[in-house]
Amino acid sequence: MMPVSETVARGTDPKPVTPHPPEASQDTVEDTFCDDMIALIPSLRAFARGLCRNRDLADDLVQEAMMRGWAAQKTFTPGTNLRAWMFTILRNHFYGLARKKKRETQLDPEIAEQTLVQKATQEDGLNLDDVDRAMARLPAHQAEILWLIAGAGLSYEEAASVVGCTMGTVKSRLNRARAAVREIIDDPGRVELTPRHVA
Amino acid sequence: MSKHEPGRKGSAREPGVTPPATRPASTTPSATASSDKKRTGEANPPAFDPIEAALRRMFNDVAKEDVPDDFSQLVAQFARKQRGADKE
Repeated sequence: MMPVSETVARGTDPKPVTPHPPEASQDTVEDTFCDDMIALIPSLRAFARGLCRNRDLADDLVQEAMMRGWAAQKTFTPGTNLRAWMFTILRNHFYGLARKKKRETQLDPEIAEQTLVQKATQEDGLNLDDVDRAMARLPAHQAEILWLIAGAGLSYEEAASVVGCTMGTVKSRLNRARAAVREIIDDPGRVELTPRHVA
Repeated sequence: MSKHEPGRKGSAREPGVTPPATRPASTTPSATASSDKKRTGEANPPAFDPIEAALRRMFNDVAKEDVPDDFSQLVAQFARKQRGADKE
């Protein structure tokens, strides 16, 4: 296996999962599974960061999700969507952990300072920090949908699969999340949303 | 969510309720509908949504970060397990 530093593509979308030919040996399937999972590490880290808003916790989540994914690889159907599958594992682990510890996941200003980009996007004038603060105030179920679709670029169908709801629910949550973010950015004092709590 | 939410059913039919004039075109329901079409495979080009663009950039910024060494150890652990399974 190649070292992670060589196999993890930095700043690129995860490569599409290659369907395995029927005659592929089990070793080949497992090697490919491992390579595909390694290629997903950047996306998994970004998704986890959006979920828990903490760099260290996010990386712990990703590592645990990878271990769980590895252990459950026999249940993965080669050629299907590994990214959505891994996102689901990560998300389930995150919410399971949150329920167990009853932990509030709030934005830690110090960590946010280190981890979040605070530059205005030149093309639209929106400050990323404003968007991030708005995301922190959204209900978790809206924020995760926005992060999955707008951030990670998942389709409605993939997001529905990850979250475990219908596409109609995804669209509804997405629209509400977009509207709420816009409203918070436009008038942060008027919108009375509490900082995000994990349900 | 408040009753001001643009996507809320019935809001457009309420007398005297009009979309806020200051809302950028890219975040109007019709603009987001175009964005929706992209995801359902229709031909119309997606409208630019500054919020989505910002989120995409935030996501990519994290994805571009160097992967910590911890992950190398984890991958090495997988490789060891794989080799162990192969021997069996």
